[in-house]
Amino acid sequence: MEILNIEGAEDTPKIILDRTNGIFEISGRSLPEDSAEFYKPVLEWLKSYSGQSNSATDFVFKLEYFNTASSKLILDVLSSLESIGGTTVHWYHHEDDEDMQEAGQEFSELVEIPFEFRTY
Amino acid sequence: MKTTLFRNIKISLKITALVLVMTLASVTAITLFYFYTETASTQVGIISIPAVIISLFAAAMSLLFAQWFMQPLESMHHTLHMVSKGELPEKSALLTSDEFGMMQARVDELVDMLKQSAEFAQKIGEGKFDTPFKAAGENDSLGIALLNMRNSLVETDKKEKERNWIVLGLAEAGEILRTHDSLDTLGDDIIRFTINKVNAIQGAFYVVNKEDEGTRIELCNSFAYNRKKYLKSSFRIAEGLVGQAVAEQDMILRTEIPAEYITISSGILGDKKPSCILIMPLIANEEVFGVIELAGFEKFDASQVKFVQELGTMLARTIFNIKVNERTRRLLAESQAMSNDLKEKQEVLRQNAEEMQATQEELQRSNLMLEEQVEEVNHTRNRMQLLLENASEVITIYEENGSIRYISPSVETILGYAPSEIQGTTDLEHVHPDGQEIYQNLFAQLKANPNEKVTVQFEYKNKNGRYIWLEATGTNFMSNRAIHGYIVNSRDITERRRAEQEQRMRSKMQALSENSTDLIARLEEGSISYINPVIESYTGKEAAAFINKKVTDTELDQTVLESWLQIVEQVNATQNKISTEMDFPSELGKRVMQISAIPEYNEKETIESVLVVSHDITERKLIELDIQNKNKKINDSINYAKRIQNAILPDNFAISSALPDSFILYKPRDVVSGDFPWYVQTGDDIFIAAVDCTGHGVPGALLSLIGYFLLNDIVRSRHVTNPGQILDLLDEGVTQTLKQDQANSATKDGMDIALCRINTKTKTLEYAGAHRPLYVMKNNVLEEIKGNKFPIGGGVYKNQTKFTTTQVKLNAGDSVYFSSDGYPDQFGGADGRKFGSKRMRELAERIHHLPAHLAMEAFDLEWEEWRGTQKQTDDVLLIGIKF
Repeated sequence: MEILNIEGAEDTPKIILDRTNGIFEISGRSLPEDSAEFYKPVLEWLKSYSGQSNSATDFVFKLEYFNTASSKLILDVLSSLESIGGTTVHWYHHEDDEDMQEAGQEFSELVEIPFEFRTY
Repeated sequence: MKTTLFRNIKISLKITALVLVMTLASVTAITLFYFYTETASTQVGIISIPAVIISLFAAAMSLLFAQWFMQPLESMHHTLHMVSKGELPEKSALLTSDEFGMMQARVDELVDMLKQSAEFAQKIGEGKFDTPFKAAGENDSLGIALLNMRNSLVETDKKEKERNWIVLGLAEAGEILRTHDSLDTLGDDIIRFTINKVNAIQGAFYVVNKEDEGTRIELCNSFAYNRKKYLKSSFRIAEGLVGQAVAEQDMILRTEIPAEYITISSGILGDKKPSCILIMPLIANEEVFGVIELAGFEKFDASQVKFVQELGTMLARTIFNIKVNERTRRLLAESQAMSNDLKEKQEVLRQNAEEMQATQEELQRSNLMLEEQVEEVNHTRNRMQLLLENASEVITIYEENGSIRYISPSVETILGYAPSEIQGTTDLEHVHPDGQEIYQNLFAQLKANPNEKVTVQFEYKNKNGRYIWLEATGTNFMSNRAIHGYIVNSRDITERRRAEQEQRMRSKMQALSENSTDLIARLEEGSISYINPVIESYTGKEAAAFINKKVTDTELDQTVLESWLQIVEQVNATQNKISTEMDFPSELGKRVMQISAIPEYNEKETIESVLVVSHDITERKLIELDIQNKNKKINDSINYAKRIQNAILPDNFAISSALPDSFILYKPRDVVSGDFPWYVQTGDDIFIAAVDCTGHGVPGALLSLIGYFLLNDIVRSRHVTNPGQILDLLDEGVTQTLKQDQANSATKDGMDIALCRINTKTKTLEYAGAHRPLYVMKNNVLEEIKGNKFPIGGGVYKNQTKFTTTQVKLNAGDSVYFSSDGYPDQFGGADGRKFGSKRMRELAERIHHLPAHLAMEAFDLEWEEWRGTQKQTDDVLLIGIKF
């Protein structure tokens, strides 16, 4: 399976999805002009992965900021992960960033995936 | 005669006087008798006449008597007087038979005897000691004395003779001794002399020699000796008679001769033993110097012995002297010899010293030379060391097994390793894995072809762990006994390779340049040193027509060359690459070129040339122009849209009359905004909301219209007043409008909202929020009313329920703040972090007491300062109301 590697930019997060090495991470800022378009390859990759997933998938969110539009897509990503067994979401937030912590908590309530909250 | 006469007279007188005295005496006696018998006349003074006669008679008698008495006496007196004078008179003629005659006879006898004695004495005086003389009697003292005197004289004479004999002998001996200064000849002569002198028949002369192993008495000379058994030429002290004599320091005179002692061989005498032996030690100063041994047929008498003894003493002195002389001579000779020897040695020494001096000087010279040489060697070595240290090559000697025996110090500057780190190791591990085969092959080739040099290149890890390129040339010196190894000279060719690569790159660049569609020219000091063929398409002339010509001399368009020269000047002034655009009139018409003027430096870091790359952007320029036009249209369109959006924004006047101490901080990110404040007043109820549609700009603005109309519909037309209910309806409306309730919904869009219903009469506030909180400041305490955790629209959320309405009682001085997420989500600050809800709350706590317009300024200032130069993250909408 090919590695999905999207370099981060000012408005877009860095995304690495690497099945072989077990690395799944979305980090940085997410406020793309068109968030649906931006997250499309991610959702497609996950769809493909769900058929051949690793026994455990540790999915890392380490976001500084996401806009309202991105939040819808992040929810879509999390929804895709719901169908993949052995997934754990590692939700990172800066120790001062309660909004991001709350956002994570909201997400954790919206999907049936175990969340682990960590600060950085 | 006179005297005699007087004497005679005296005697006569004496006699006379005697008679007289006797006469007088008798007279006197008669007289006295007379006086006394005659009644004495008393006249004393009167001499009687008888007395006088008597006296005269007496006197005459006296004279006669005296004459008779005196004559014989006078004769005797005369004779005795002569005797007393030493004269011996003849016998006197007149001889009386009286006592006087007898006396005279005796006087004559005396004279006779005296005459005989005188004669005897006279004879003795003449040396006639044998003259017969008899003493007159036993008591003839004069005769006996004369005899004794004769005997004594005889004895003395004998002694005198003996003494003379000895003295003479000694004198002769002295003469002999004087004439000899050597013991050998002396001994010979003296023994011969002595034998003759003392009438001996044999003689020997020994000398005492003191030697280290003991004193020996050695036979020096002998005369007529014929010893048999005892013929010894050498004795120790106390050995034999000779030794005994020396030991006792006394002569030995023997008449009992041991049977075998000496025999005398003589044709005349036959074997006949001597009857006397005299062994005389020669003593002087109580030291024995030699021995004389003499043998004779007769016993040596005392004088002979005495002579030998005295001779011995003399001889001893002589021997002593000779010995002393000999010793002195010997010492002198020795001393002379020594002196000569010394002189010779001194000479030798002098010569040696000279030689040594010379040698030393030579040594100093050679030392100096040596020092110079050593210094030279040191210099050379230091030079060598420096050369080796600073050489651009590393020289390595490898053993046959590949280990390094020697590596030059330059390894430190070239590879960073100290020689000691490397020596004794194999350095294959430092060679890059790609080069290890090449490296090993180097040695294999050297071994296979010992006479060929082999050069290879490989990468080598230096001390810093960085690989550098080495060119190594190996030579096989196995057969060289001094080296017996492989010598490899390695050079760092990283730079060369880089230069080569650069050269290749340059060639490629050249090729690229030659084939580039851009016009590329290198300008060097106002001349064109290079220009690529593209120029032809712009000028119709070949590149060669431009190369190595002054820019001003070429047939370039005036605009072009002026621009180029100006650009070069700019590059030189700024020392930096210049990018600009310029018009480029050409065969193809008027073109626009984007110029990149790149400075090219020489080794001295000064600009050598400027590369001018002209990219034809005429087409792009046209497109850009097109885009600009389109953009303008879009902008115009958006600006138009903004006017429309502005129309839906609440009337500030209405709000400020209803809520006089309130503010709306509204900062759209773009021209049009996804955020919008919404305000409606119905009766006593004031509805005010901060709406944040997903997205911003045009899509946000479109959504905002939906939200606006839906809210207006719900509140104004349907008169719904409960905020939660309003949001439920809004959600429903959005979902329906965007068809998000359908399975294949294409949009996830929706909105967050903070909605307040404020009743100024009842002083109550009701709040409902979708993803947005309300901050309430009451009595300096901030209270947060969290909205629901789901948005408006965006599809159906799990756990989504109805929106909650929260009521808050208001007092004067209370204030509330609500916003879109654009305010807290702004990036900024020192670390580019979000402003954050916490900071927003703290700010509210700090400034809530301020009048609304000042509070807004404070919120705005704080936020702008936070943002700094960062771009705005999202639309910002913050509403604050103070009661």
